[in-house]
Amino acid sequence: MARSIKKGPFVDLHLDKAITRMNQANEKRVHKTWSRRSTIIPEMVGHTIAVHNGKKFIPVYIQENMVGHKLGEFSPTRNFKSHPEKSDKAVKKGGR
Amino acid sequence: MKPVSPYQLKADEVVIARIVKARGIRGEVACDMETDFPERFQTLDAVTVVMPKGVRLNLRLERHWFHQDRVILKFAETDTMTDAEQLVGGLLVIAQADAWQLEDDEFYEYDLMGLQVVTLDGTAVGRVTGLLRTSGNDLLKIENDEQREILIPFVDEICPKVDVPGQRLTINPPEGLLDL
Repeated sequence: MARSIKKGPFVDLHLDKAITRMNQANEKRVHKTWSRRSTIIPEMVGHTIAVHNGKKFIPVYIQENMVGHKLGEFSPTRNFKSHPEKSDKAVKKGGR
Repeated sequence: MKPVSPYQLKADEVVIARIVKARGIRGEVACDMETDFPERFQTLDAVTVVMPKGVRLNLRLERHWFHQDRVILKFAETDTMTDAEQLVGGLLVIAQADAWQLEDDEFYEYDLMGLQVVTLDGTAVGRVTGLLRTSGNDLLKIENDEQREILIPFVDEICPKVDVPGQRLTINPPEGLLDL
């Protein structure tokens, strides 16, 4: 069942406080968090949040299209080792 | 430790598919795609298949179609399942010069590898050694002089300038990103 709209999106209090503090001070520094369960809210857009994946912190640059998703979705916990040969794959700035 | 390829590819060759199994009884093969441009197969006519230990075969592509996440290829030279089985493990390669033109904010993975990374004030950070694809923005793996791996989100705000011919990537990291 979906979360009640009345409650609003879930964000861990300590993370919410840290983001509010950075926004008030107009600061852009990387904030480390273990809170993979927190929902990405519009106030986080433009910040880089280092989300722990169980082993290390993965920096996630928050973009508008990530709002509504959970932070953990962008910090993979499994590592795919790609083949060593040169492949015909392209990378787009900001993701595809 | 980095994996070593058993294939002896030329420096200007790029892999577009990897033959994983024979498919059907008419000599078709199923391939994992190693390209972001599946349309490329429409224009392919003659292809080179590189087998492990460097054996190279020049084959003519008769037809192709897509099935689930794979592409099925039928070569003129393979008519039976036994012929097709000989090709399993091979790589379909094209010349790097035949690579497609990309948008201004797109780059081939192999072009980014080895770029020298510097900050806006010119401080050297390290070299690009890999790429981590995530469901959000991709991350560049950078190795510094102390062999430590640093992850940098590949977005305009953090990587404002990518100079592939000059082998230089300029970054504007927020405070704390290089110390993670």
